Amino acid sequence: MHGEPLDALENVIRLLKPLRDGIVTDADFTLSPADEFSPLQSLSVWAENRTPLAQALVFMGKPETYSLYAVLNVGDIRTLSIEKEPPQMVLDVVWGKLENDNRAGAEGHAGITGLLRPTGIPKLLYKELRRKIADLARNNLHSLP
Amino acid sequence: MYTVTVEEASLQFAEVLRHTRTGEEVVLTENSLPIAKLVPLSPQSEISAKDAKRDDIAYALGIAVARGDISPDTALLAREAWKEIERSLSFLLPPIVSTVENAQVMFSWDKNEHHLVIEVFPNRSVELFYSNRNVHSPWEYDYEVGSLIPTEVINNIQVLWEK
Repeated sequence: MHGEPLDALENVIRLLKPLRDGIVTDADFTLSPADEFSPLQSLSVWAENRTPLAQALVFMGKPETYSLYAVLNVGDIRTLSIEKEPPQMVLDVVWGKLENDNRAGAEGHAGITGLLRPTGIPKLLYKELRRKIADLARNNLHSLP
Repeated sequence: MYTVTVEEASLQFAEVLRHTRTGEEVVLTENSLPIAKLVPLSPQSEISAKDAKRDDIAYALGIAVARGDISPDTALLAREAWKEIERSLSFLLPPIVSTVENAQVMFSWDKNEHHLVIEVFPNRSVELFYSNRNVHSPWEYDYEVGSLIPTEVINNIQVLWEK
């Protein structure tokens, strides 16, 4: 299961910690140095039907710093492309097994892959891709209770 | 690295702001420095809209430092970069400030289809990115903290933004 793609009908949750404005930005879909060094080189997300929101917050640590979450459809993420013609799938969402973690909900961890720019590809194309996924998130944004 | 809770940071920041706005004396301890260093300490009798904008930026950066998202050095660098952005792009409304953990600070603006992002990286590089949601013609301009944003770049943004 680890590294395998999620079903296109699945929804995933991306937990967000805006500084003050309650707005999702491109930063929320930018790989941190830790993300880049992670095995999947991906952004952490949680399958909505496998990991309850409260449990996802516990897994992420410092739960008090998160105030928003976006719900993204896996199929929608896969439609985002860096070129319009012909559109090529760049982003994917794959299962990301948490090592040595048997807590309930751990099986719902997944990662959005494809955000790391390959050498030789203009960086503005990846910034455009990042803008598109942030826009997608903006359409389904919720405050944490 | 010294860290404080968000609540502590907010309190410290409020104290420093009170000082900048009223000139009242504020006792800053060594523990206050990561936050206090982010805001100007010259007394001011009145606070202008521009000062308020700067305070918002500093406040957001202070929270990011307090949460451990970015280092105080990166926050200070972002504030330094902001001075030039504020000078050259003064026609823009205040940006949204966000951060990438242990990496860059991002200033972003959206107006209808227009999207502008300026990222300040810990190595002093700055990347400006413009994108139009209706037309696929993104462009970018890279420079370093301390450099001026060229007039041509400023004019390009102004024309697009004020359409």
